Amino acid sequence: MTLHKAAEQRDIIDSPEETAHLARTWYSPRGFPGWFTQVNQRMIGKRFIITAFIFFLLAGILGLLMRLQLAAPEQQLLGPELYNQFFTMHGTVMMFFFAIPVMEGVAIYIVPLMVGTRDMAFPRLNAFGYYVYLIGGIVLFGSLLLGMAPNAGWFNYVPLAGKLYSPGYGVDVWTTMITFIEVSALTAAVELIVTILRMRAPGMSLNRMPLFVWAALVMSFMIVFAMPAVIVSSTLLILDRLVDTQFFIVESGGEPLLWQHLFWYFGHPEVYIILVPALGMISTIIITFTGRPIFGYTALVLSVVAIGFVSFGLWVHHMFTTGLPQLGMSFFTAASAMIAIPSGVQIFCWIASLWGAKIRFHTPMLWVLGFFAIFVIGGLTGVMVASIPFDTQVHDTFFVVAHFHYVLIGGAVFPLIGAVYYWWPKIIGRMMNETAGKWSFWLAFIGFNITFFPMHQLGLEGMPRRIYTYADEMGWGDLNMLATIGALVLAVGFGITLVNAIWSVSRGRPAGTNPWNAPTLEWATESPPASYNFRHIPVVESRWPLWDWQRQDERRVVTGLRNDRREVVLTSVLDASPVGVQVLPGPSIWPFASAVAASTGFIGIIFHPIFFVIGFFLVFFSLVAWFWPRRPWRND
Amino acid sequence: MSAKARKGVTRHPLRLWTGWVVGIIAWTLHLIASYLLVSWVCATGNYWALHGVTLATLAMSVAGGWVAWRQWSEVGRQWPDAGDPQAQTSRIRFMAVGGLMISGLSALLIVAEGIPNFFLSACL
Repeated sequence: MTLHKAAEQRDIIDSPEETAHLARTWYSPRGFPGWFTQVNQRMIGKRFIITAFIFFLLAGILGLLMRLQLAAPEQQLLGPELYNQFFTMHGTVMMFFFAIPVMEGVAIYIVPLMVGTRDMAFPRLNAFGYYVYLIGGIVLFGSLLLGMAPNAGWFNYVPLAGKLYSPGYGVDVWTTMITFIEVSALTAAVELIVTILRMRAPGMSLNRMPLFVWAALVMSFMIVFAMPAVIVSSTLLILDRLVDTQFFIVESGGEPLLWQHLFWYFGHPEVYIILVPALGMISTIIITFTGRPIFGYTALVLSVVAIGFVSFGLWVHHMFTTGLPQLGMSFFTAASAMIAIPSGVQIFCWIASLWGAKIRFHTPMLWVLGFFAIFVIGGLTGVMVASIPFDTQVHDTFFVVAHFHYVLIGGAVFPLIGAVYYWWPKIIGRMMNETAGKWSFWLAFIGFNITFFPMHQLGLEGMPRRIYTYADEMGWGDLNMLATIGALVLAVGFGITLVNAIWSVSRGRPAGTNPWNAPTLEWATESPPASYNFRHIPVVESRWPLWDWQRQDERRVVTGLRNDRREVVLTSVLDASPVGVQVLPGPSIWPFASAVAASTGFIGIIFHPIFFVIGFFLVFFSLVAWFWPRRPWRND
Repeated sequence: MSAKARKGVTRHPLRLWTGWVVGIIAWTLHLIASYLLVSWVCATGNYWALHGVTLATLAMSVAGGWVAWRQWSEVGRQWPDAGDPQAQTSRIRFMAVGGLMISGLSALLIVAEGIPNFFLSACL
């Protein structure tokens, strides 16, 4: 490959033998062995997405059961203990086992295609991250079936989560499984950062990167900086519980507020870790369905970056009722209000992009428009609770439940479902049904608002969150019944999308390469892409390469990569100039073995400290096998 | 782009990141330092420390913005676009405008967080 000067231009004719050889080189094992050995990024991304949606379904069912319990006063469908386990599991699974992994999964699948490369930087690490996530999720749900589920809420406050008040295994399971998901998230984040910064197609300088790739980059950096805080806090808590350290024990000089600081230092950016990729999805969908370049590319990039930064300075607004000094809290009020500026820039750029455009109202676009309505309401109530006097009134009430569901479902799940409709044809090769998609959207949109809007009023009337029932005299029955009916409608709405997705796998209309006439590189290859993603790595000359190629009727590509080993082009950080070639590893069982070994240590330590030693050695041996040097004389 | 400017840019590509990073570091320092100083200010009544932190970090974020402004000036102050594939000008403009705006937002955050120091007691 010519790295420093442009090669002479010539037409390229692909021979079928060479293409078949390339396909064999990038082949992913199928069937049962493939479950444990695949490392190609699209396989791992698809697994993350499907697994995360299964957890979404399970946690959603828990949410529905809670709504049925609260539909009328003094019901006994769920007892207090089970209700505590359900709301803890619902929050934990939705935040840790659905929202983060699904966004990572979409990024793992789409980003390498969008930046025009054949895989991610560390394919085996990618696979390791997935197995750790899967094992963590299965153990967490297994604990619910065994009656050992955590029950101290998704943010697991001490002293409630301390050994004195939560003596069973539930909180131990929570702290351990959270560490699992953090490890998984960190591996994905490192993968994405390196892939985005060093593996973009030649010519895709930073100012030409697709907005979703920018969002994935910001999300990944946020994960790297936020996750260690919760790993530290959960480690301190498990030490308190298992070996009697005193980090959070007041009587011994410990500090319960330390938990809240560490948790929310992670927990608030977490909300934006979920939101930021959704912002990228929205921009991507708007560009395609308006059929023209987005208004304010630079402003949109900068506002996503700014949101990423500023989200780290808001965490104390979760602690306004803990008795901290007013002046100290006011700094966080100011920052909380100021994050509305970059958020507002995003919204206004999108409005300007939609203004006067010939919008195609396909299903992905509908979900994005639904986002606008819901997220703006959630944002406004967010500014309300950023004010300390108001927050003090509604703290721990259903107003807060309404607020964060508006922000999380409106801000992340609606764009995500839109993105599923948008990218599903690329992933599966077939279109989802449009009519079913529109029914799904309207039922979800109406059902969502019927469910969560009344909760604002319930909160203002003083209904606390996390109570398993309430007295008839409180007068909350009617609004709760309305919310439960809405939840059922919402579930039907999401259910239609599930059925639509499954139906389309075998019955959907074939999608073709670029069914939406989108401008980004993932639509330049077949649907679904071949094992090597791109027959030729493209060369990029603008932000909208596919629209350029349509006008010019030709495209420039990289030549010279070998097809007998997994080669990808490395490019420079700023300008994406080609600087070298990296050879990626092939399928391997060792990431799975390492994940099992690590899990043995993490899970076993709940029951006996010796498992730490056992896990350590098992991980050591599996990593030695994983990193066993390739044989240079065989040039593989 | 002049030869001098091109030389300056290629010699110091890290300068492009200055505006993206310095302002945010200044804001982070302001938030953490102010938060930590509150109890000490309550004990001693030395409000000047809080104002001093605000001024110092504000100056720092303005400095980050100034570096970005200089960078932008070197390549001609135009709004960044997707650019000519052979020239780095568009990408440099993009980075410079980015640095300027992020430094500006950081300065705004510092000012917003500095205002309560004039009105609220540190001992409440």
